[in-house]
Amino acid sequence: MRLSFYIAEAWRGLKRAPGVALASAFSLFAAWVVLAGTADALYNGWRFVNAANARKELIVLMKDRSGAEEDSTLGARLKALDEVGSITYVSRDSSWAQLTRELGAEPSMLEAVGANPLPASWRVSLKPELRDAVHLKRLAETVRQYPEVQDALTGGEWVDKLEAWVRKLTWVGFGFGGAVALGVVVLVMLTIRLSIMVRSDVLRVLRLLGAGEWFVRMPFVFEGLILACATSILALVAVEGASRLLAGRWSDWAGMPLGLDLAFLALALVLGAVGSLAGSAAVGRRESA
Amino acid sequence: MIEFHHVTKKYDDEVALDDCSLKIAQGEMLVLLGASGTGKSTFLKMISFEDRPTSGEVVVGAYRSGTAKDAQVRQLRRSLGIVHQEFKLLQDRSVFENVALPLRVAGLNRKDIHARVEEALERVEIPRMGAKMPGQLSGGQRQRVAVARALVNKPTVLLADEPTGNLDHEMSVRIVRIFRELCASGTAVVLATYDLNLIQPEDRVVRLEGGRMKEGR
Repeated sequence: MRLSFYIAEAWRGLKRAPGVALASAFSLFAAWVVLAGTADALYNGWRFVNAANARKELIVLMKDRSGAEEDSTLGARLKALDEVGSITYVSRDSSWAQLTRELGAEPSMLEAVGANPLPASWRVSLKPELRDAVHLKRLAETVRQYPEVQDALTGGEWVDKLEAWVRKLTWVGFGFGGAVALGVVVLVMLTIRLSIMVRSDVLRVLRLLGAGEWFVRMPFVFEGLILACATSILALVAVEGASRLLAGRWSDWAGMPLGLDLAFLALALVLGAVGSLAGSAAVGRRESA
Repeated sequence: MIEFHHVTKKYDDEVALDDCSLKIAQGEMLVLLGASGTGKSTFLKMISFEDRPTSGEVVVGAYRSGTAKDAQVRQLRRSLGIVHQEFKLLQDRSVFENVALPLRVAGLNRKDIHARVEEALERVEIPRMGAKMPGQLSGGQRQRVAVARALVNKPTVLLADEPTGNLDHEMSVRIVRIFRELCASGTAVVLATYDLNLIQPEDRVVRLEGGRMKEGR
């Protein structure tokens, strides 16, 4: 019963000063676009890093002259490790054949080498949930201790560098997002204060009727929530549209997943509530001079 | 019900009420006479605790002006009906919504609100006007809406500041008759007016002159 009254009052408040409401809505929309755009960019950054990490594998080089028995023993030991998802054996001959294929245009180089100098190796992939630089390096250190192993190569250092950069950008994004969020709270607060001034006649009548503090404040809280909710939904739609345009040009780009969208909306509601509660804090308390 | 104990109210150096003392019993009708600016509105504001005395004390039921906290002031006001001289209707909502406001403050349900608003509008003889906006009404009709809003929560005290100022004599008499009916059911009514024609012999009359109070016409 009171809920519908509060919402109707909030709507009346927005209609009462449409210029203020529109200016506030536009500013909030811009702030949400910046926040959602930053979140989407970081999401895609991490998506790219994770995809690159998922492709990373450990190459375990056997010592020279290792025999088939040692190779298969090592294979069994690798397979038994907790982090390991799958392993693939690459014999000396296969490695040589691959190198031959890759250097096909320069056969003279292979002729200069003479006999096949390449060792046999195991290509080790981590379990999907453990595919990151930390687990890969830890596994390499473990495997290097095995007597049959000449070396364990992780490769993909550029992915590690990229990940470090994305991590730094994420912190910067959090700081920037925090500043924008604070701005949103201040913006909602100022909008509510203006709305309170515009509706001073209503407040005066409500006070004379004995309305309680929350009865007076709740319409303003709902006003802030309506503004925050509506503008954040519009911003999400805009960012999703921009994301689709980018995805059309760059297939690796993706829009934010539903969970992140919902978290964004929840954040918008919380910020709207904080702003409107702060903005309406002074109203409805004092009853007489 | 209502007691004034040596109440003085000053606004800066101007004395609005000067050492006023009186008691108004439950079910009593007090007519407050006086020209404009003699302190009638201030007197009514003292009862609603909209203003507090500079000295002295006002007691309304269990509430004392000297000690009442904000929460108590709210409780007191929910038991009052106030008709303002300038109506104080909200222009951005319908007549129904204006009259329903005290009931929404009191937390009544939709069905009860509807029934009591309809009853109040019928009582002031503007039924079927609920959907109209205040701007669509004449001055007299707006005044009756203000009266309906004051009646709708069945107040224990009704304060009416020139409630018939925009009504013709016939309608004024009918509105005051409603106030008398309220008195009969136990409501204390304080009616501030300059219209001597509304006074009946059995009414208690208090005249305000320069903030000082004199009993009798």
